[in-house]
Formats: sequence, structure tokens, C-alpha cells
Amino acid sequence: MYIIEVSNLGKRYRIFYEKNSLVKTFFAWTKGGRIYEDIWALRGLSFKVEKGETIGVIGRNGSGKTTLLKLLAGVTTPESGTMRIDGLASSLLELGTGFQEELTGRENIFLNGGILGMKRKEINRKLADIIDFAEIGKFIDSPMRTYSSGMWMRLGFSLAINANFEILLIDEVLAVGDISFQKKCFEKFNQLKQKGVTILFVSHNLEKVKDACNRTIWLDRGVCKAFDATDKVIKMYLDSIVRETGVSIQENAVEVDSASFLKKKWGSREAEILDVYFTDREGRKREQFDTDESLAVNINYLAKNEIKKPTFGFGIYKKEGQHICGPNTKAYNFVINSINGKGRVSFVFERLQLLEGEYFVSASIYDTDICCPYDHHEKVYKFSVASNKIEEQYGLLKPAGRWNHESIQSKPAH
Amino acid sequence: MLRLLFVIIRYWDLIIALAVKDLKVRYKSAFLGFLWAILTPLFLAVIFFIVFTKIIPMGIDRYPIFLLCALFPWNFMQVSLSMGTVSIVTSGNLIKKVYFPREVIPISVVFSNAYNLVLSFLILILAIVLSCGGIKPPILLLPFIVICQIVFTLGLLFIFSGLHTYYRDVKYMVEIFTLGWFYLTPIFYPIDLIPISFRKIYMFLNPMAIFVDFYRGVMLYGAWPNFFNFMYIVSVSIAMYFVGLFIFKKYEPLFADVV
Repeated sequence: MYIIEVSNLGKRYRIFYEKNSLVKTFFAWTKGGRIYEDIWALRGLSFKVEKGETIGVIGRNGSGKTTLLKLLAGVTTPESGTMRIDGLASSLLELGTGFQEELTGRENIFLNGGILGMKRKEINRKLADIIDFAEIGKFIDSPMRTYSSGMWMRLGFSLAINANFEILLIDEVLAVGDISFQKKCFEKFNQLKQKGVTILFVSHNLEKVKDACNRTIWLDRGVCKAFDATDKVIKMYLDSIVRETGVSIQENAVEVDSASFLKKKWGSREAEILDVYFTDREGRKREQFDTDESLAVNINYLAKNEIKKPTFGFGIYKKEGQHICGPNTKAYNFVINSINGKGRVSFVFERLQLLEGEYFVSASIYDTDICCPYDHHEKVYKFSVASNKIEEQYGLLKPAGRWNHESIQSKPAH
Repeated sequence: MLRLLFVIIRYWDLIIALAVKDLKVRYKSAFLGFLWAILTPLFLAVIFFIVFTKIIPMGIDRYPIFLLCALFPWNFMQVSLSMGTVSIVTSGNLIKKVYFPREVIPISVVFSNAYNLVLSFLILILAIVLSCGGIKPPILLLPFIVICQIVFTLGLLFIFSGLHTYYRDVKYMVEIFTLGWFYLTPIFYPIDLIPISFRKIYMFLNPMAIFVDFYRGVMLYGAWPNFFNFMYIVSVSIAMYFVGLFIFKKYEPLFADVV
């Protein structure tokens, strides 16, 4: 017995060239002209969900995720296909949608509870729980325009989860709110899951989807690309990004939101950075170094065609984002006449001056004038520096220099 | 049909909550509150009083009360229609995100205005009692006539608000339509001015004329409504309601896509 059964679901949006009017429609109709364009937001979507499952929905912007939730919530109707929902589905598309800022929190609970289908009596019974979970306290009788956005959202969430839905539809709502409240929400989700509530969770945050969902639907331009175990689907999704954009993604890339990850690498890719790694004096690859040790930054590249006088460079950043240095071949008057095929460019720190901490490294290949990037990897690599001595150190660097002492006027010894 | 009744009962709490919100938001910053709601009909009454007693005397007895008996219910309908026609569009934010039967929105608009109508009638009845002594038993029918007019207004509003969501020029058509309707209804003139040969068909075509006739009858003249007209207006109101709801429901599924 499935709680949601969707088969061959399709949703068409009619985009009017201009705001629709009765007069215009009439004239267009008499002339037989067309004043709109059809766009399919979803097409041929079929899936089944069992009671108590938590299903992730992923996909790029405009892939139909929100349309799917709207259809399931009954906000809009499908153009084709069938949809069977065995239970009450929430409309948790956005929290606190119906709140009126002139009304108090309490009045809004009654108004929005009603919108979510609750009766006055039911709300009265749950009022204390709702206010309590939202952590609104004495502000509950102040107009909502005095609320912070956090309070606004907490009240919306609290109301929605208290509304007794068998199916919760969640659209990116947990992107806001502080960490502790997010944690509380996830705890609440787990409780609801145990109670047998089915959850559909739309998010760009792949990490959260991975945590929360057993199975995941991947939508792409309105079509379901995959519906399977979450790990599998996320891997396929990331692979497809690699194929389409040519960007390689490392294992740990799942930690970052796929959209922001894409922004980490850019360039024309006539020459590519294959790998960046760090070696010590003996040429061994390492990721951890000590202050004063020797460190070499190595950039392996592949040039598809001959490129004349490229500029190689890299940058070192503190974990917190502070830019420490950014040497490039041009600034050091180091000329590479041309590259073609594979090769390696390296820069050696004879004595590493950095103090203890984690460091991110960007690497890039530009044209001669450092104007057009062939390939740029922004803070994709990292190494750390440990201090093997117990001496106290301040600041970022242990500068290369030496101490000197001479006395100007010595007192005669007694 | 039972299902439609079910919606009103099932969502009664929400309809009332929305109507109360509407009144609260409307009057939150206005010191005079409810007075603003009856200011328009009162102001119109003053103008008509000056025009039709001093400039073109019509010689109507107790003319201010004669006017208000018609202006209050007219104002109720006109404000309901102008606010209600755009109500689905102005609640777009809600409609795009939450499902609930959409007719709840126009119903709540009519209810919040009906609250004003009831208050203004209470004041008017008080004025009638104080000024010219006494009301007669037919006034017992007043609540029933008000309910009839609410049902009639709802029917019209369902059509207008449903259409306006798709075609944004409906709002302007409604404005022109109500303006013309105002002058074609015996509000500032008595129904006797309509030629007798023509009067039956006129009242048949303009139910508002019958409503106004009834309001004046039960409040001002203490006369029982004409039975035939009464049955006619009840059936017209109910028919209007269901025709309106039918059209509204036909358009409803795609509201979220067009608002």
C-alpha cells in the first residue's frame, strides 16, 4: 500500500506574452492568433512512496521540484497523468506565508491554523505547544511586524508541524534559521518519521538530503532522471554535472552545495590543471608540514594545444578566508615559453614561514597578461601546518629574518 | 450541492477568522474605525438630500431615512464587489502556497462587509424609532432579506473574482457596471417613478430594485413584501449563488498558476 502514487504526471504552464485581458483574448480569438507559449514544468513523472519514508527531491533550478510539491499539496492541478494521495498533505511550501504583520502572533496562529485546515478547538488545544516550540514567549501578543525573521519562521514551522499532516512537503525551508533551531527541526522530523509521517524534502543542500532521506528523486528539466537510494542518486547527479560542465568533483564535494561548487572552477580549459599537490624536501607528497620545513607546490597541467607564454600562479588562504600570498610566474620574471601536453610547474618555499593552521590553496593558469583564465581552481586544495615546538607564536608568519644584538653603551661591570 | 454546503461548515472558523482579520487590518490605524465604513453612504445621503430637497425637490417624506434604507445595502454590495473582485489576486501569495477551497476568500470579504451592514442597520433602526416612532412587525423579515442579499452578492462575486483572476480587466468592467447599476436602481428616487407598464419587467431584470423595495417596506413603511416578488428574489439569489459557484469552481484549479 503506497501513500503516494504518481503516474505519468505532467504539468504545463501557459506563459502569456503579456498580462492576460478579456478584451485581448477576444481579439486574439477572432483573429486566431496565439498570445501564449506552453512550457512543460513536469513531464511523464511516475513514482511511488511508502508510508513513513523520507524522500529527497534534488535537481537544478527550474527542474520542476517546486511544481511537484505544488501538485502534491493540491495548490495546482496536473495537466496529464494521475496522482493518488492517501492522506492529508501539508502545504509547507514556505513557512509563515499567510502571516499578517498587523495581527499578533496569537491571532496569526488562529488565522493560519485555519488556512492549514485546523479548527478553532483544535488550535486552542495545541496553542501552548505551538508557542512553546516556536520559542516566542511573551511576544506572542505583540503584532508580528515586531518579530525578527527568525521568530517569524519558527512560528510558521511550529504551526505547520502541529497541523497533523500525514505527508509533509518541505521546500528548502531549513535554509534559514540558526543552527540550534535547525537541529531542533531535524529532531522533530525524526519524531514525526517514527510516528509514520511521510516527508518529501526539496533541497539544494545535498548534505542535508543525504542525512535525512532514504530515497531521492532527481529531476532534470521536468523529467525524472532517477529515483533510488540517496547515495546512488546524488552520485549520479554530481556525475552529470561533471559531464555537462567538464568540472571534476572530488569525493568530499558532497559536503558543499553543488551550485556553489560549480563556482569554484572556471576558465576556457584550453589548458587544464590536472592536480595540485604538496611535497617536502625529499619529494614526498604530504598534506601536513611544520613551520620552517621545505614545501613545494606542484601544479600538474595538460595543454590540449600549444599555448605560448602562459602564466602559472597559486594563492594561499587562511581557512577563515584571509589571503596570505599569491605568487605567479610573471611576477617572478619566470618565463615559460610554451606548453603543449602534460607537464608540471612547481614553486618551492625553502623554509615555510606559515604558522600553525589550515590553509586553502587556489591554482590557476592564465594567459600572458593574466587576463583570460585557461583554468582556475578557487580554494580547492588544502594543507595544514603543525607546530612541532611549544614556543609561543603570534600572527600569521614566522618571518625569514635574523635577530641581532649589540650594546651601545655598556655599563662597567662591578 | 451538499459538498458546497460542507465547505462553508468545514471552513467556518477560517471564514470568520479571515473576515475578522480583514476588519482589523482595515481599521487598525483609523481612529474612527467602523465610522469610516458608513461614512460613504452617509456622505452620499447628505449630497442627495441637498440635491433632491433643495435643488430639485422630489417631495418625499422622511427623505434621509428613505435614502439610507437603500444606500446602506447598496454600499454593502458595491464595496463587496469591488473588494471581492480582486480578492483572489491580492491573496496570491497564499493561493500559490497553500491549498484550501478558494471560495473561502470571497465569502470572507462579503462577511466582513455584512458585519458593517448589520451595524449600520442597527443604527438606522434606532434612528427610525427615535425620529418617527415605531417599527412594525414586518421588520422581523429584515434578517432574512439581508441573508438573501448576501447570497445574491456572493453569487455575483464568485463570477467576477473567478474571471478577474484570469482576465485583469474585469475589475474595470465591474466598476463601470456598478456605477450604471446604481443609477438604474431606485435608490435616491422612489420606484413609483418607473412607468407602471414597464415596472414588472424592470423589477424582474433588476433584483436590486426588489431588495431596495423590501428594505424600505419593512423598515420605513412597515409593509409586508409582495409574496410573488419575495419568492422570486429567494430563487434568484439561490440560483445566482450556484451559477456563480459553478463558474468559480470551473476556473479554480488553475488560480495558483495565474495569480
